[in-house]
Amino acid sequence: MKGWLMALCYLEAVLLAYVVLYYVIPPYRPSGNLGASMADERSRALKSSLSWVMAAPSERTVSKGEGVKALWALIFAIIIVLTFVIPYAILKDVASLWGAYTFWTLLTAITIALVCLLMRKWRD
Amino acid sequence: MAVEAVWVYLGIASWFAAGCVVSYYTRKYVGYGVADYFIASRRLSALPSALTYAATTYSAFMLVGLVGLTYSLGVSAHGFELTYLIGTVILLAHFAPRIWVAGKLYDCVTPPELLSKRFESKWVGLVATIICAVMIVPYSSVQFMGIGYLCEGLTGGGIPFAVGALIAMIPTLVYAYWAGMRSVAWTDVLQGLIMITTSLGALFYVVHTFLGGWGPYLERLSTEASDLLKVNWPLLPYLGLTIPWFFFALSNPQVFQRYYVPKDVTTLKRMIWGFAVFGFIYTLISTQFGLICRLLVPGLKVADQAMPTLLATKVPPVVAVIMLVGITAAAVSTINSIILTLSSMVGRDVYRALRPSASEDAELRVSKAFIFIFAVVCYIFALFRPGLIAILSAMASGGMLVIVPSIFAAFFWKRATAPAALASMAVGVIIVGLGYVFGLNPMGVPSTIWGLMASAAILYVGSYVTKPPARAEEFMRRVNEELEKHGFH
Repeated sequence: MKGWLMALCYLEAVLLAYVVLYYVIPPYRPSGNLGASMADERSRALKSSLSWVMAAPSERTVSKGEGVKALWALIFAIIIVLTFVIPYAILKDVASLWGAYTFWTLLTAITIALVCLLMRKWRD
Repeated sequence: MAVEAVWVYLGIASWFAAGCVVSYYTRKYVGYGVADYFIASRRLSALPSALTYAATTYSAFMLVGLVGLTYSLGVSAHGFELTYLIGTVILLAHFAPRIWVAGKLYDCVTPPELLSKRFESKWVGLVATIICAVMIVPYSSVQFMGIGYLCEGLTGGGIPFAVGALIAMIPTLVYAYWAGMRSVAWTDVLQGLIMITTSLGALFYVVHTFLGGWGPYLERLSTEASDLLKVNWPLLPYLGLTIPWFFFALSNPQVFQRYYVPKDVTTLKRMIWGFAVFGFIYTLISTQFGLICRLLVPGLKVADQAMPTLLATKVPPVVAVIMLVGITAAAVSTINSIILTLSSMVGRDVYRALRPSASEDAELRVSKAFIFIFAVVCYIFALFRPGLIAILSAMASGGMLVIVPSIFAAFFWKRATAPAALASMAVGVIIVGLGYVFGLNPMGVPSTIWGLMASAAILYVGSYVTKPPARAEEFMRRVNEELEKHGFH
């Protein structure tokens, strides 16, 4: 049991780290001092994106794009966690089609709709 | 109530003839070269792109294995399959654009070729090819075996197992060989439509004929099989099966290769949502059949027999044959894609990698020869059913999972190196293999998860102690520039 939980935590951490880093960090831009500049850039981007999410609209100091990326990351991370947590923690003993069956079905439909929304700005 | 063999032969022959017409028609558009044969020169339109992705992904497992899983475990099986779909859709939105862009920029035909070019080592592609071939050929054999058993069971032995497996093998070979990706993609359009329409039609027929409509069916379900509506699958085994499947969209080369084929960004978008909608509907149908089987054919000792028993004992022969054709279409559309992709990998990542001076014609000849070889090997495995097949086919999704960390690193970590990627895949697959062969699950964690963790850790540590590829930075910069140009996130 402990091993399993450990493995799950590890995978969740990797997944969350990936999603957050992916959305928060801007595309890599080469520069002279790679190590320091990348670390600074990551740190700056992380702070600014989080502050965009946390701040009131009038106080936001970073670009909308960065903030939107952070929000998408959060949404997908939440979906992945909910997929496992809600049916097993809350709906486990509900003997009805309106229980876990409907939850998984709706969550999948929502994910597909969200991904379609995410793809709207892709262009040729 | 066995079905007469002649009706099964007629049903399969009609379906095969329709596929041959489609395949023959697509042959007219085949151009020159390896890229044209295996990825249709990156010029597929939305319909074949979406349906070949969907039909390749969804095999006979859906209407046999998943039905059986739902029969025994209830709605948890529905959750398992939809969790896989959620993971796939999220991964597609992130990786499909990257792979599509990198494939175009670096002229990649096969999945391992992309890794070889990013890590600047032919050995990375070669090892990935060997892992995929060893894992996925037995999985394909199991698909042949499934059709063999289904034909034999449905006809009460009227169609022997070997002939049933051959019924799946011949169309696989013809569709894959005739016009490569074009043939497979357009026959997959046919197969996909057959899969959805036959299963949906049969679902409505069974509910209205045997259960008195949706209202009485749901009422009966909640009174007679309410235990199936609870989450019955213990969490740990559920996670053990779900996590490897979550990464299917990256670990399986036959679906990975399909990210290369859309002709433009609009097509890529339509491929993703088309697949998602198909998968969503097909999953709902399959799991409903599992619940229905529990009401109509209760008390089966082997859950996988639920669908074959329903077809053989309840429904009229004509419906049973239509369903059999739908299931065979699902199996064939998966195996022909697997065989086509594996053959291209042998030609590009083994033959061409080891003999760089070889011509494109020679590479194509070798690859096409391997379409035959793989089809025959899968069939022979299916006939003789060696014990190793069961182990290897069970390992398939977990075994190929060890390639996933290298794919992630290829796009997101410029420090990742070829020696680390090689060690990561090799050690990972050895751990998974030992776990399956000796039944080892240290600390209760399945060996697939240990293999994944080990391969990720080795890649990370190994990359810091070895020299990074000279052009990794350039690879990521070029890919990112293209991504920005197309508005990818």
